[in-house]
Amino acid sequence: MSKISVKGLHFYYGNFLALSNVNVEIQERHITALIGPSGCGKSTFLRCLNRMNDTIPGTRLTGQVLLDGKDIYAPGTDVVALRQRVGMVFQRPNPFPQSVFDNVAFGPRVLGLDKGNNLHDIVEESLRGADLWDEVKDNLAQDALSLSLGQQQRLCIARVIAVKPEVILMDEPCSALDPIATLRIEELMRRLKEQYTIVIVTHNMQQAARVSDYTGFFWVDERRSGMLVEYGLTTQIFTNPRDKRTEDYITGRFG
Amino acid sequence: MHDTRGRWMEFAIEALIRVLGISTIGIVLLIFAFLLREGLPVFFQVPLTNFLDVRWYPTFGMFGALPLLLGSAFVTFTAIAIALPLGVATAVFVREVAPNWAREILKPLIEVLAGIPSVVLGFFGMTFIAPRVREILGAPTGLTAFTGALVLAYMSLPTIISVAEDALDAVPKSYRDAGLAIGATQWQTIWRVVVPAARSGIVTAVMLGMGRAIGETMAVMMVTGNAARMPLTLDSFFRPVRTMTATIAAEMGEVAKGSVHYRALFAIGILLFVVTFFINLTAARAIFTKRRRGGLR
Repeated sequence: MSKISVKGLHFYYGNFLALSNVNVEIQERHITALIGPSGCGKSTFLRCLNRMNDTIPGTRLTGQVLLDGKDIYAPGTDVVALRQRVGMVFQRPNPFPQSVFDNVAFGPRVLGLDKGNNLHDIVEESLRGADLWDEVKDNLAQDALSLSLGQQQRLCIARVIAVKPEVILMDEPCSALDPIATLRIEELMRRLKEQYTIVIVTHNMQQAARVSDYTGFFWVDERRSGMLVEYGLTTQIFTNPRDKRTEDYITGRFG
Repeated sequence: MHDTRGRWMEFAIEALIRVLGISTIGIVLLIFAFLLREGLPVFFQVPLTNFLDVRWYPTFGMFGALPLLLGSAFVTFTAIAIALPLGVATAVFVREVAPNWAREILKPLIEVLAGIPSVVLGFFGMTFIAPRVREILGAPTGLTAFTGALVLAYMSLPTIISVAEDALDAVPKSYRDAGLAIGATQWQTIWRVVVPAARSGIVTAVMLGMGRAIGETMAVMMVTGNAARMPLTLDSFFRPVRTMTATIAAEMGEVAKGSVHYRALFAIGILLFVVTFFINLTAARAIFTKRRRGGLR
C-alpha cells in the first residue's frame, strides 16, 4: 500500500519552475530510489516530502503530497510533527559537535520521548538499529566528530530512528563515503525497510539497482525544469525501461 | 639602469614596512616599560600590606587598592551579567529569527552603537539613568554601581552582539537542517544545537565585551559616584563605587610628578594592564580552540 502519494506537484524557486507535474506513489516498507542527472530536481523533490524546503526563502509549491492520505501542505499542518514522522539523512554526515550519546538523545529529549522511558535504552536501541552500537558502546561520551565519516553517517541514521519516524528520506547518503562504508549503509537500509519506508536519492545507479524495490527516474527538460519521466519496480526500470531517456541514462549513453 | 632603481624602490618600501611594523611593537613595549618604571618603585616606598589594604586615602598615605580592584570587578561583572543574556539573545534574533530586511537594518545600527563616545553615554547615564535609579529603586543617590553597570552593559553590548553574531553565522547550515529534520522546533534547534556549537565564539564575545567594560573610564567616572568603598554587601549595587580607571583619571591631574601617590596610580595602571591582559588571553584562547576544532563545515 502506498505511504506517500504525490499528486500534480509543481515546485518553484521564485519564478523558476524546478519541478513540473510530479505524480508518484511511494510504497510502505519498501525502498524507493530516485535517480537522474545533476540538477534534475530529485533532491528538491525529496525535500518536498518533509517540507524541508520551507527553510529556503522564496520557494513555492502547488499540488498535493499525501502522507497516509493527509495532505502535508494543507493549512494548519504541524510541520514539526511532520518532520518527526518523516526524518531525513543528509548528503554529508552532519552529527552535532557533541557526544555520540547526546547526538542520538537529541531527538528523544526535544520531543519528550525520554519521559517514562530510559533514555539510555532508547539510545542503545537506536545505535543497534543503525549498526553502530558495537563500535561505540565503550565510549558513548566521545565527540561525534572523532568518528569516521561512515560511522558519522550511521550515527545520523541512529539519530533519526531514535525519534521513531515512519519514513526516512536519504539524500545521497553515501556520496561522501568510501565503498566499504557505502556497503554497510546499504545493508543497513535493507534491514531498516522492515520497519520504515525509505526514499533515497542517489547518483549511483548500481546502488539504486542493488538496494531499491522501486525506482523513479528524473530528467531535466530544455527549460531546466525537473520532471519524473518514469517510475516503477526497480527490476522493470533497469531491465525493461519504457522511456527512451531512461534507457539511455541507465545504459550510460549520456555519460 | 631601470632595474637597479626598481630594486632600490623595492628595498626601500620593504624596509619602511618593516620599520613601521617593528616600531608599533616597540611603542607598545615602551609604554609597558614606562608603566613599570613609574609604578614599580611604589612597592619599595609603600609596604605591600598597605597596597592590599581596604582604604584608599592617598592624602594620609593609605594606598589600599583593594576597593578599587573590587570596584572595577563588581561593576564589570554586573555589567556582563546584564549584557550577556541581552547580547546573546539579540545576536540570536539578528542571525536566526529576524527576516532579511530587518537584519540589513539591525546590523549596521549595532555597529553605530559601538561608535557612540563614552562621554555621551556617561552624560546620558548621569542625567537620565541615575535619577531613575534613585527614584524607582529608592537608592540614596543615583550615582551607584548599578547605574555604572547599566551604562557599561550598554557599551559592551555592540561588541558582544557582533562577535556572537559572527560565531552563530559560522555554525554550518547542516546542523540547523539536522535539528529541524528530526522534528525539533526552530527554538529547540537554536538553543540545543546552534548556540552550543557557537559556544567558543560566544565566550570570546563576552571576554571582549568584558575587556571593553573594565577599561572604560569616562562613562564610569560620571555615573558611579566614585566612593572608594569595599563592595562586599548586597546593597553595594545601590551604593557608590570607585573603579581603577576612574581613580587614575580623577587623581592623575592633581598629583606631584614622582610622588608616592603618583607612583601608586601607575601601580594601579599596572594592575589594570595585567587584568586586561589575562582577559584578552582567555579570549584569544577561546578563538584558538574554535579554530582547532572547526571540524566539519
